[in-house]
Amino acid sequence: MNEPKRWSELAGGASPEESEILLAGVSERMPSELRGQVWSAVTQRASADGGRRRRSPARGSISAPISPQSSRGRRAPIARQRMKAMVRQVLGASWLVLFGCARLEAEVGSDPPTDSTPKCDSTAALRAYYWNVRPDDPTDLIDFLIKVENRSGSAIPLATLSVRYYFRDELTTPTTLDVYYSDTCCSNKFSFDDRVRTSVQAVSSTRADSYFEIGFEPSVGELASGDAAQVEIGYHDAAFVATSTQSNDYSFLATATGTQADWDACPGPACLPTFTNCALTLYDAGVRVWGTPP
Amino acid sequence: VTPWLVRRQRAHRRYEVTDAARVDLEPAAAPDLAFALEQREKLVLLDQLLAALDEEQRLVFVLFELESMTGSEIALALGIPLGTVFSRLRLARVAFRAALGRHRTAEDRLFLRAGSK
Repeated sequence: MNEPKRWSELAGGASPEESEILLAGVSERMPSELRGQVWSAVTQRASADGGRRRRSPARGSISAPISPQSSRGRRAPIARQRMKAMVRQVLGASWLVLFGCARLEAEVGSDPPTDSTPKCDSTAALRAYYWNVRPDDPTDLIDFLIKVENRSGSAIPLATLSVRYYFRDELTTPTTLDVYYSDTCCSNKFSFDDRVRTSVQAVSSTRADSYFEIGFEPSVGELASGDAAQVEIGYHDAAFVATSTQSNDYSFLATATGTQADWDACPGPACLPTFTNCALTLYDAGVRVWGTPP
Repeated sequence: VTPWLVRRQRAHRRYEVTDAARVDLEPAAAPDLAFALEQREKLVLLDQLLAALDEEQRLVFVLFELESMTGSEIALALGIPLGTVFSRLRLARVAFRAALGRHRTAEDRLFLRAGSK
């Protein structure tokens, strides 16, 4: 994964005003010597914490792993408290704590957060739309399109995005999950049918037992700001004999129907009321940025 | 919002008066003081803009943009995937820009209101 440029650097992407503000902060940043002391102290304590860490850090190395968690899902509250105390002890009320490291106590030693502040309205930087093209219930084919709109102001690698559609999987016979169509629009148009990643995953919830995960191969490239990527998928019994009840599917939205022209006008002013589906979830690099899971 | 703007204006005026007095006493120091004042204003603004970010995004933003840590260092330090670091960084930049835009809009409104009186 390529390291992005600092925003304030030449061609880093910030405006001249943003660069000036940031450079003022850079000139006042915590001295590197003190920063080294902080990370060194944290690393040594993590090292002293025995087998709780993932692997042995190099003492005094700023890049050594400091997380005391032994594995995802298992927490080390004592180590976390020690780190928290150490950071406070070394830094006091210094600049870094004031500006951001207060969060360290929640981040270090706990599971990676999976949610930012997910939204499901016109203020979201990344938006997901859903077009229900087969509202039949029951149906021999679950068929819908999703569209992901990038309103973040910068291009996004599509491979970092994934969408989940939650449902009750009632098909017990061999099934097929197809990608019927995919493309991007509109400043940079291209299609990529054979480079969509789809899978059916299990989920533990009273409102769904499965979800379709729709993602993209790295070779698909980036979604330009202002553009949208759409994918149509179909899920069915391999012989098109068994049927699925859709009305009990968490992400199924019977009202999200419309014409091709309606859908093509999306994203647009008329898009949100018709095709918004907050029961779909959209993830950006593992962080949920849209919708609510069951 | 208005009381906040009033407080900020008052604080700003306090700085100006103090520095103006120093310039009277030490004319040669004027360029340095002007620069210092400008820097201080930028830092105050930076503080406000950072406060507008979500904590998770602010942490990554500060470590990357101001502390010059690499994405890998931040991922290791926070115990989050590298992709999540870059995702939060990108979202933080968007939020930072939006906060600056809101700030400028508020300033413009204040300026217009003052001009109409």
